[in-house]
Amino acid sequence: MDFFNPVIDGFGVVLQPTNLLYCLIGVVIGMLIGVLPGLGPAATIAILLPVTYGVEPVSAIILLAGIFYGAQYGGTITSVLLKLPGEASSVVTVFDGYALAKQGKAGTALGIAAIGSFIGGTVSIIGLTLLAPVVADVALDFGPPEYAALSLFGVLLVATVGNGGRTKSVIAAGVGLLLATVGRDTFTGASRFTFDTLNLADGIDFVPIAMGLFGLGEILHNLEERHRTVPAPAKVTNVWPSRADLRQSSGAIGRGSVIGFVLGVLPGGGATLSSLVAYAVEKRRAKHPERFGQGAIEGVAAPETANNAAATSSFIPLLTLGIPANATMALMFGALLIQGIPPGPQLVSEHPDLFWGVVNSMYIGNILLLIMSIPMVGLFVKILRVRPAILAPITVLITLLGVYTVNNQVFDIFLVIVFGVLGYLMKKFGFEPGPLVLAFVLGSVLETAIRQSLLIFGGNPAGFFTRPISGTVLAVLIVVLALPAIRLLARRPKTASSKDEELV
Amino acid sequence: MRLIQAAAVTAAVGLLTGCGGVKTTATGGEGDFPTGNIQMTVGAAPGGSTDLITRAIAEGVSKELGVSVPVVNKPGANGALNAKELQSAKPDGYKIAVQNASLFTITPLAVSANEAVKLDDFDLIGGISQDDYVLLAPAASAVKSIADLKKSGKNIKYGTTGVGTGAQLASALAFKQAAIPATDVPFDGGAPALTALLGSQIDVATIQVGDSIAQIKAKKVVPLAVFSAERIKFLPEVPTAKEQGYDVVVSQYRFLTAPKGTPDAVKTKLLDAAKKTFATEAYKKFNDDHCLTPIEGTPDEVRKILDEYATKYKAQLDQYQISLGQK
Amino acid sequence: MTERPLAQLGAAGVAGAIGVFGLVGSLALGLGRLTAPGPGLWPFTVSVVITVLAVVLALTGRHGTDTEGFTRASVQTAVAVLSLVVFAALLPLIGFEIPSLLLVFVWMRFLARSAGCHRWPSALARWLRSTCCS
Repeated sequence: MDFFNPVIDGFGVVLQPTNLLYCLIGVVIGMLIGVLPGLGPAATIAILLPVTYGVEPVSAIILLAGIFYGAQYGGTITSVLLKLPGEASSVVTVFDGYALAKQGKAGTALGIAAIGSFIGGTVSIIGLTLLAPVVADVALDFGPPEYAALSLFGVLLVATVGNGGRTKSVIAAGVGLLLATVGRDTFTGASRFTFDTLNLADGIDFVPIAMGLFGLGEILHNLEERHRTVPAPAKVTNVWPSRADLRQSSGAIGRGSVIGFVLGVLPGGGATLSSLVAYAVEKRRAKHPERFGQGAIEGVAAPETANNAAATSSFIPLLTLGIPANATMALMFGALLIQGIPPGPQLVSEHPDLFWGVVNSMYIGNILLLIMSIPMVGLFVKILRVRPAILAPITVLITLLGVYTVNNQVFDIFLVIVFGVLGYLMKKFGFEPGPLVLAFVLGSVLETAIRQSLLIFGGNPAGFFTRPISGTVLAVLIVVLALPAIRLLARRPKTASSKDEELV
Repeated sequence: MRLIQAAAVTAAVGLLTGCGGVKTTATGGEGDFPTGNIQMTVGAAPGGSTDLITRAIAEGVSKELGVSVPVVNKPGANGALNAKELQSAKPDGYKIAVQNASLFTITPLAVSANEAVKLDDFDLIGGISQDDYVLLAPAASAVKSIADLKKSGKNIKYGTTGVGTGAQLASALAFKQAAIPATDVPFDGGAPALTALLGSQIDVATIQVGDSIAQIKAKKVVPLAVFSAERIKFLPEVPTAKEQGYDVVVSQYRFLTAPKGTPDAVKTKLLDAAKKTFATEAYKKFNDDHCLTPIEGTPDEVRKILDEYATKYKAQLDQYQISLGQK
Repeated sequence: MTERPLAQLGAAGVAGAIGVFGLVGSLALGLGRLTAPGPGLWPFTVSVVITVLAVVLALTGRHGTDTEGFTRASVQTAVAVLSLVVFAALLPLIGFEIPSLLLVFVWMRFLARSAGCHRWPSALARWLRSTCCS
């Protein structure tokens, strides 16, 4: 029972009223910045860092962690309502979330996202509590070859999550990969496709691409859409997910939790990859995969559960190895240092109260997030009642200014406009922006990992297959690729009749 | 309903304004500097060493001068983007930045000419601190020194924090001088390189001391050499590369800059405020926490340090025929 | 939805052009070898895939029904894009306040009329009031 004593003590720490208050403040701030495009959690934490100097270490971390997951959920809100994914990990949510919102079911989508996030987060926290040290060791076995195999897997999944033609999806994904190469090459320092613009020297940021292709592209498209057809004024209902919705999503939430926990441990794109994999798994398992992209509730439940589970398990490397996985984590690292607590391999043994305090604050944070989102969902859904004629220009304005605040560069505003036009044209010509954006996110991880691996292998690509983990992933990949072809051959005679049944 | 709409719009616009995207800075006569906010820009994303140092200084300077000192991140091109903007800003002391020596001494050796920036385009306010690199091996390997690496006789895969960084330069020089066959595996910063090292994906890695001190103290990784001129106080038992017989002295050095032509009185005032900040206990602790060695010299001393580095690096790269990147 | 073979061919053409652009660009960067991959190797691989698929699309996708034609209403989109460009151009020169108002005005006045919003003046006035008075 000795093991559980610090866990219980940790709860005692978190449940102190002041700490609960910090948790609440963090979650609210996080939700707000998540809703506004631009200013992300990293920048917010940087600004708030000095505020935490005078606060108890546990409280400070609870506050910052609250911001971190509040922002995750805030990003979901804009993805569903306005097709504006603020973070790479909520791109997948856009597909079905926005479709549901158009059908007047935004409340359902947001509700299921909140429930899924809560369950995913909780499962992940339990996993973290029991398995953190083991998981951290396993994560270390993931070197560049394993990342290469996993992200290759992700990029190929990208083509299957879309609804459009397969060829067009892969082309869009290819363009995304190509866009990811813009900027200075990490290996040689050569400038690639930058047209001698210093603004492109560090590559293109995710935010302008996502905001442009999804948000602005959609608005531009709607401008003329409204002409053609009288908009069916989707009746906006605030209703929470029905029992049927919950039943339908329960499997997705369960699988999403596990996928998110496992993939979230991997630094760099772990959350994005997990949302993508969770979505693809659901689509593949579904009896009617064609519902996906048209407003399937599992299509929101799976990625949202997974990305929240991943956000939680991404704390594992920081807490057990002392290595921050991303900018937000690096700032938390800084916050701990200022408090005189160097996060590192000894954190758990030297400051158990802090470690378990933080872990338990996640439980509380998740519960608070769930409780808060109940009234919030109703409030946010009202945004959709604003007439498009007013909502559109304001959304555009906030998007453009928000993008500006990320790097404080007017160039980024132009980028959003360019990608907005591209998003509009893609829609016109039957391409989907989803594969492009996701491939873009995974592209830099993929290229870096492949090239690091080749350097490590001394140029011999066989190395990818001889390592146990990367070999397994690649084998699965080949099977997954070959499966549809085999199935198609086996099933061909029956296809016609089964299609008729589905229509009924 | 209308009220809610209006309120939502107001709130949103208000928030954006509050977040201070586009702002104008007040200007006044030199004598009463400062009369408005002083903006400190950072050529890197939030969370990195340069960002943290800037924020620590901004806090102190703000207290000293009694104006607010907002920090604005302008990441891009290793800081070159920020440098170019600072260069063209009004030289009135209301826009200043902490810059990295590597941008002027190492990056130009690795990237194309249009991305390179020149020190002469800025006014120096004063030096800040030095950030040292350490060569690490996983604890599991039996390697304890650079000589052990040579004895192993195999091609060493070494991780660095990226192209055009001091980590890359230091490792390349060390392996070349020791005549150890080695392959450079660049990572995007210290954290991924350290993770790969902990998992023994690479044989050794060169990383900033501040980024790896916790893992060194926990004996997860073994320091083989520091690349400073003398041993550093944070790792007193680790010999320098120089002690081990290799002439490799590479450090990151940061200093405070202003646009060219900033009045001397303004610079003096800023330097005084910075010096008072440096003297505070809080700032000294900050340096120790991040393993930074303060070198708070005058502008002339800073210039001398940078010139020495630049000349030396270039000469050594030529001598050992190393190229950091393709131009 | 209707078939628009020309639009499909056009889409394939643009995709192919991007692919060829990538090929030329990455060849110029240098491919390197597997032991020392050059900066162009990866973009080259990606560009090959894009180009090949563009050809596939041109050959097989002509009968797809997933495209939409341009109509007179598309002019609105062009106007909208132009207003955004003007906004971005003015921003660094005169701050964000005036361009923001202009942008909202243009969108409400010229782009939303057809959507059945005839009461734009009152909407705008309300918005202005709430913004300025707070």
